[in-house]
Amino acid sequence: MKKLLISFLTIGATLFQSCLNNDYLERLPLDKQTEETVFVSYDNFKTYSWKFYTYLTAYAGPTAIKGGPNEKYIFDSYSDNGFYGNPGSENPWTWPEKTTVPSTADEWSKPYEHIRAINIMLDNLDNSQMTESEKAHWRSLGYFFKANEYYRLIAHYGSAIWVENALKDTDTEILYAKRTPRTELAAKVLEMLEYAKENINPDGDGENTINRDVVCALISRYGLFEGTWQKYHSISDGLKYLQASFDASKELINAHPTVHNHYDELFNSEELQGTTGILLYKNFLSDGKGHNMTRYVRTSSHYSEISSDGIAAYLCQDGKPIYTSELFEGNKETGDADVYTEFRNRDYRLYYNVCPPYKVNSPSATNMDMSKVTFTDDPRDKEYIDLMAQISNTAGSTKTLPALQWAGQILREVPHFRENSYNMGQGFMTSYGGYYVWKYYNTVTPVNSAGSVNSTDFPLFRMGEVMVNHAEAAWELGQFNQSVADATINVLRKRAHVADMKVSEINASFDPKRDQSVDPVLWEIRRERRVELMFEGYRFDDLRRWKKAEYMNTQQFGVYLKKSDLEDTRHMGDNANPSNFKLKLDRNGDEGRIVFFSKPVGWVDRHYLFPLPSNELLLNQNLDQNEGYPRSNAE
Amino acid sequence: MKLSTFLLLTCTFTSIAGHVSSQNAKVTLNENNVAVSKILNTIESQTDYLFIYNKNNVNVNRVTSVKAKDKTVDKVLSDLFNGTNITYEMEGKHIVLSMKNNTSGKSISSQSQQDGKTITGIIKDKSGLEVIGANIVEKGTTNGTITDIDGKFSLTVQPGATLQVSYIGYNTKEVKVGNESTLNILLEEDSQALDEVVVVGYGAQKKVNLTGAITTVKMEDVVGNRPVGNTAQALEGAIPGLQVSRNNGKPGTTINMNVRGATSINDDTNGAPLVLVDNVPMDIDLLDPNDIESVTTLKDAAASAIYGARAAFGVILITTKQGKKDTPMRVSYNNNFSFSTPAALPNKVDPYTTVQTYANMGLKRYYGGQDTEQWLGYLDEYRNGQHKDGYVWSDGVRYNLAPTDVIDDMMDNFGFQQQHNVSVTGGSSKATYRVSFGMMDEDGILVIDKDSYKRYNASAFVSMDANKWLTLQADFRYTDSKTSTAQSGTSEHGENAVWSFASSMPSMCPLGYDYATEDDNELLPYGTPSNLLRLASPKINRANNTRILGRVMIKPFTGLDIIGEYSFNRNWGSEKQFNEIYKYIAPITGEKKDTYTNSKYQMKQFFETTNAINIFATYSKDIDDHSFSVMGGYNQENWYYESLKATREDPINQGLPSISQSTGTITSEDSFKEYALRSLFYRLTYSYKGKYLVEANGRYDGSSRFPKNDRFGFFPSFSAGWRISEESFMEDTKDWMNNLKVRASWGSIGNQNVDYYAYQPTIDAKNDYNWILPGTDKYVTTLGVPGLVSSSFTWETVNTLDIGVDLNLFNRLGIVFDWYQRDTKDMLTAAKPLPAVLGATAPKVNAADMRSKGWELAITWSDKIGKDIRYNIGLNLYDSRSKITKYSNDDNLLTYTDASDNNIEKMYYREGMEFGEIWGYTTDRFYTENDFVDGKLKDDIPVFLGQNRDNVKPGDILYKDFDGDGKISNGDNSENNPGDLRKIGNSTPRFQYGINAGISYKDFDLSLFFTGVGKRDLWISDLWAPNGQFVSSVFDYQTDYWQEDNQNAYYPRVYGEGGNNSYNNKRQTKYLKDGSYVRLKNLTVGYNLPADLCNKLYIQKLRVFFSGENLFTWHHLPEGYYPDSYSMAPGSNKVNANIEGDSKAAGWSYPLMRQFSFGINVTF
Repeated sequence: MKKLLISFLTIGATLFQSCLNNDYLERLPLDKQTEETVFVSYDNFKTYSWKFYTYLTAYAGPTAIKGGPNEKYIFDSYSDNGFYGNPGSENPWTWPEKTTVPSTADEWSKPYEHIRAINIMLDNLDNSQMTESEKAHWRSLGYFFKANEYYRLIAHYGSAIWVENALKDTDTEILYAKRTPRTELAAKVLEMLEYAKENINPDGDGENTINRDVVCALISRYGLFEGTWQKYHSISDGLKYLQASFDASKELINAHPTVHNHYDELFNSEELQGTTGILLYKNFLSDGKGHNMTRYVRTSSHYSEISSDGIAAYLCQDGKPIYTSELFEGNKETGDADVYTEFRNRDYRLYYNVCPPYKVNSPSATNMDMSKVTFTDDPRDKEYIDLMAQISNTAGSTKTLPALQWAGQILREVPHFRENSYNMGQGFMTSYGGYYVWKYYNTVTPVNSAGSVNSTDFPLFRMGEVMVNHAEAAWELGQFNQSVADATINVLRKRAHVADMKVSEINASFDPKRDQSVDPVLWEIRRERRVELMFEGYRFDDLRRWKKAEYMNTQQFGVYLKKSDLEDTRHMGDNANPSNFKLKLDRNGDEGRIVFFSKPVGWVDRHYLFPLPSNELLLNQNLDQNEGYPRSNAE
Repeated sequence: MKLSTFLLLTCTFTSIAGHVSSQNAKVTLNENNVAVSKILNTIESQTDYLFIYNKNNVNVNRVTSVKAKDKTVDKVLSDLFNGTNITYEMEGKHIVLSMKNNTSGKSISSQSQQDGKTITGIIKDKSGLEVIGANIVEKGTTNGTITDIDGKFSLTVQPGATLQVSYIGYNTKEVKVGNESTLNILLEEDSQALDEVVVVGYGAQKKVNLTGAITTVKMEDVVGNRPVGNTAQALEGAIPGLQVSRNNGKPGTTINMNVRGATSINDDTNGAPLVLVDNVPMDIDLLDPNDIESVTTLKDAAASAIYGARAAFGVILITTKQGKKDTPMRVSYNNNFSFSTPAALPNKVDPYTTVQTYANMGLKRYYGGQDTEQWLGYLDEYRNGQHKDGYVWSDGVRYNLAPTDVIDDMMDNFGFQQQHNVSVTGGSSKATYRVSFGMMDEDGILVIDKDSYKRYNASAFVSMDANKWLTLQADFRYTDSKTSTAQSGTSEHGENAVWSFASSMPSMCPLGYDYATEDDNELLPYGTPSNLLRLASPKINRANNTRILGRVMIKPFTGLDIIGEYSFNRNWGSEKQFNEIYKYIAPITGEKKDTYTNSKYQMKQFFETTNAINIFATYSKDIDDHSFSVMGGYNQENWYYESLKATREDPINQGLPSISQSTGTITSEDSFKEYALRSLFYRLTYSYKGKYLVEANGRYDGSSRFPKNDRFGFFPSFSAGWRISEESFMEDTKDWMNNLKVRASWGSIGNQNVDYYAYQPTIDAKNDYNWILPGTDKYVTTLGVPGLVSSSFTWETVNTLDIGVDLNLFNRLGIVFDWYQRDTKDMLTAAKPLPAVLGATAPKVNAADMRSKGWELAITWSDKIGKDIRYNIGLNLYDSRSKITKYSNDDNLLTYTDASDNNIEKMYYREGMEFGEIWGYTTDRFYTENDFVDGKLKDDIPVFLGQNRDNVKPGDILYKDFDGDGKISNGDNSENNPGDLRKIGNSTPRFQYGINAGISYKDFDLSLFFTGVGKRDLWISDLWAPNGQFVSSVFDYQTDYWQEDNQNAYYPRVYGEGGNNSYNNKRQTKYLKDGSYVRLKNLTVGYNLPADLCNKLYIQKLRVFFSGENLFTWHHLPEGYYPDSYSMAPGSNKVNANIEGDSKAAGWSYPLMRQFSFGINVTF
């Protein structure tokens, strides 16, 4: 009876099911696609892959994750080049108390999001309707981007978990895996890039796409990074990577032996399309499809500053450091000099990256009418105004002086101090130390108050970097010589109006301030790199790969000045009281360099790698924390 | 035998019209050898007639036979009683049976009262109508009679007797007989009539027979004469367990409803209940409250299981008004005129205190270039009568000095709202109708008339008896609404952030038009809220709803009702927006700005269509003391949505923006969504002697939102009730205990509230990826990344256990109490936090459980004092708490940052986590000078992990270092090791209540209505200057901050930029606010024109009233904050007070309005 009842109910239910559960309840998405429909043709893959390009960060530094003006990295504020001039914003890497284990970190999670998207494309290649060579092209493109993501993970964490295919939540072996050892992971990255180099369409998918050149540029960058890291951190000799970098750079230099003749235009052009030496750039358009960097540099919220140490790195135009150059008119022992003197006869890249000093008179703090501006009686105040008029680009509007705040208000003078008493009613474009960094300053692109309207393009891969990569890799491989210097460093120096490097002239006394543990020639190669790539976000990674992070331990200073320079009504208002001098100087007396942060506590070696986020370590007990860090803040 | 109780209980009551009735109603009978009473029952069931007789002396037990086909009732009765001593009289719907030998009226003394006194009288109800068939009994005897068709009676009683007068639906009345021989007795309606019938899913039930948790309110009772144009708003505080929240006063704002708190973590609708208007879903905002008859809330699973998959968050059944049979045509007109002002506004401090605060923050120069010391000097001089212009120019910088009020500047004196509703209703013996037309027009408080809401409603209902077993009904509804939302119209302030912008402008913000600089000659508007509102185009939303419902009701034989319904609902909507370009001066910095780079016109149109079919049948049968009913039915429903949005820049004429009259590129996008449901449902009820009640409901439900193999779910419920008061052992308490019922229910419901296509991994074409190919002017079109989807997932189920008690005492006091426990099982969620290596959000599986417990109490009391004063008071109070009972978060992780949601800090779910938990640090004290030696913080004083010790200053906040490690930290961010984090509060509103009280004296009445929350914690992150953003306006409650000479301040030291603000503003105990409040929601005074006066004026009824809404709120937050404007989504760690993109600066948006209204209701 019971059985009968059950079978009756079962039959009944089944009948109901088949009656009710028909097409009426089958509602498929009408405006969405699925994996089966997306990965069929060459064009499908092309469409899908465009988003990978957005993984390349502009205005953030080559290994940075976040987009937008990630100024602390791109302006080298976490390095010996500069600092972030806002109270409480000391470089956490040299104030170890400030470096804590985060719960979550984009640096760890974002690359895996990107890798998943790339893996989905790679996993679908075999079943597509494409020829083998088409498949190889898309595999190459996937490898290029996947390699770049692993490069980031390696740069931050040393090693990470290798993910071959797009993961499901059931793939616990990989989800809870140990990290793949650095040497193994780094080799996979290089293998992927080498495959891409050989198999990608040499011309990519049209203009400004990943092609063989761009792949070579990444090999050049990554090979140098990994090779020197492994060498200086005593992991291996790094030769494999250095050689790959060397070869890739060489191929590129053969193909692109010259660079665009105007350094500043690389960073302040509305259009980089067709610019010599630009391998890949990020295109920006006005009206919501732009960036905010230009406006930002022309407001009151730009805090990134260069230090006197960064300024000292720039050679004089005779190719010599300030400590030995005849062209330097300041104190050769200490490098001290008032700002006018300090800026005289220097590498042009200094003028394009740091606003030279000047002074003008203007009827009011908010004046926007250039015809109402008059010059001071002191000819020195006009010296760099004239110079910049001469060396700015042909349109004459990019980096001329006086500088203009975003809305057009005319900045009366530089140095222009953030410390309240001295800004003369002009709260914008200030600095604590006195050096105003203006690498991304121009008056060409729209800068109105709407967001994302600055449309200057950003170079993602450029020959300038490839050349300094090549010079350094060549030295590390023992192959650096005058002809390499001529093909690389001297190409860049010509553009910067600096005399050629003569390898034979560089000896132990070439730069008396040199780190004595570094070969004099290598020191100069590294200087060239520092100067060429200043404020592009390379320096922090460079110091770490060279294992020279202790350079950041030196205290950073601003301009050299006399108190009396500021004791006038122009700076202190009508009720000027010299005893109110608010700036801190680095020595007793009435003159010296401006101090903002005190001397750092100092770099600790655990900082060579970032701490893994504690949530990840809790979730995956097989994951090891980087040396020196606790697994969580609770430890 | 107690005469009074058994006199009249052969009546049947029905709620669904469908009985044939008329003077000439015909019946068909074929009864052999049955009691007369059975024949009378049959006649009642076929007609609207009621038989009224005294069982004691009218013998209806005689066995006889009757055959009649299509005979009039008159004829049947005349045959039936021919040759007996029973006579009958027909009047209206009543047929009174009496003995032939009782000649004076229908006096039916059961014993001779030779020595008694004969009393005659007439019994009327409040409206002056005679009451037919009322019982009059001499107290303490069985001597009694009933009134005749004129309401008259005659009875011989002992001198000094007391008469008990009773009639169903009226309060029993006792009258002492004095010397008089005629009596006029007035019966009062019993407001707690036990025979009240309430609408339940696919049917109606007597309230006393309910076994589930159901609350019904008559719309008239809750709306009364309040100036509410929105049905949901009218329900606030009216129904225990129904939470209604309106978090701002913007005209046309959608109002959120929630039944019994959080049900699921997958609750993206804020637990919005299913709203059914006459069985079919509809947007409640589009209904005119005047068209609603009653609103029923189904709260437990027993009540709502019949609606299955969509009922998980409770069901609200709305029954619209229909015509009544055999009533003359009535025309009603109601109106309501209301004036509104903001219920509360924040107070800014004067310009001097504002600038003084800037200076105290360490700002030597304000960001408009002003030197703060110099500024204070000017302000001093201004106070002393200098600088009459209200500003000073110095070195090209403008120093504003004159105190202004931007908030006042942006508002009118009052907002205005009017409502009108006209309806015509009536019915003949075969047909009924109701036609109504309503309009509502609300103009908000802003200076411009760009904030407004208009709605027109039209509806028509007709019902027709085609023959005696078939009734046809049709209902048409049309709604047209237009909402206009004022915009700030600049890219700088967000599209509609005008309120937060107004609150952030300091108290010396210049107003009007001026020149940007001293020597400028272009007169421009300042970017004040007032100017921006005047210059910007509003956002216009239109909605236009057409709804057609057809119903067929078949009654093939007694006891069986079959109803078939089809409804079609088409909602069309549009949204227009235009961003205009014009120049303005930024008030603080004095910069000239453009509102946008490009002007942009945007138009979106959408429509949604719902088709629904319901077919259900009910069969009821009584066998002796057993009553059964069986209901079964079928429902299918589909919904389809389609939208198209187009945008184009640069209209040729800014005054006439349109897509075709613009020059820029067109961008457009479309979207489509749909779902379908198909279900079978049933209800079985059984009751024995009306004492023992048992009910079973269930639904077999299929939804397109689940994969084919997991698509159907079966959701049953069971409930039982015991009417203890009907037991014989309760006989003694019957006098005062009218009803005592205990009930219990259990049921299981599915929740289909997941994405439409959640089980299918989809890839979406996108063009928001920031990459532009050379030579193009758009972001590249690419494809999204498919999400991880579990191959099988199915319904979440919600199991509810509910135990309730209903108690009615003294005919005056009503108490309903419910306790419930609700288990939500198999909630769809990420199975557990997965390592980031996955690279995707973990797929959802049925993996989590939660449990809510709560209770609801409703108490009502109504009584009168003397003859003229009537009063009532009602309280409803409810509470619920929800906890996660299963979640795979083995490490009990606490928080994470959601990169996909504006980097908001959110909480991981974990077992034992209570909804609304607030985790924070414990404020110890401020750092003081004693903590420092030579300007260096002592080593044993803790600082925050990651904070540079050298930066700490006196006046910063020191937190309790519970784990004593010298660092304040979140440990390993897990509950197991939370460092110094502690659970410091809970943001769930607890003990929510509504209190209503009314009193009437003669024709005047007064009612009061309060709502409130008993307990709640609120963390308002921007109460005080967060992260150095505090740079413009200063509110009066913010000035008590730490300074050298104010070390006992409430707030910590202030910083102009950076500083320790981020450390001082951690979520912490000291600044956790008490979110409880009480609000006097409404006060109404009304006057009804006396009936006799009405008669003279040829009107049925006339009422005038005055009403105040949102009159006072007592709360613990600073002035201008609204404690009920904060909501917290499950799992979010952030309290939201945002509406439509308006940010919540100072917790402030379009304020709630205090409304004063008056109007008249008139019925002809």
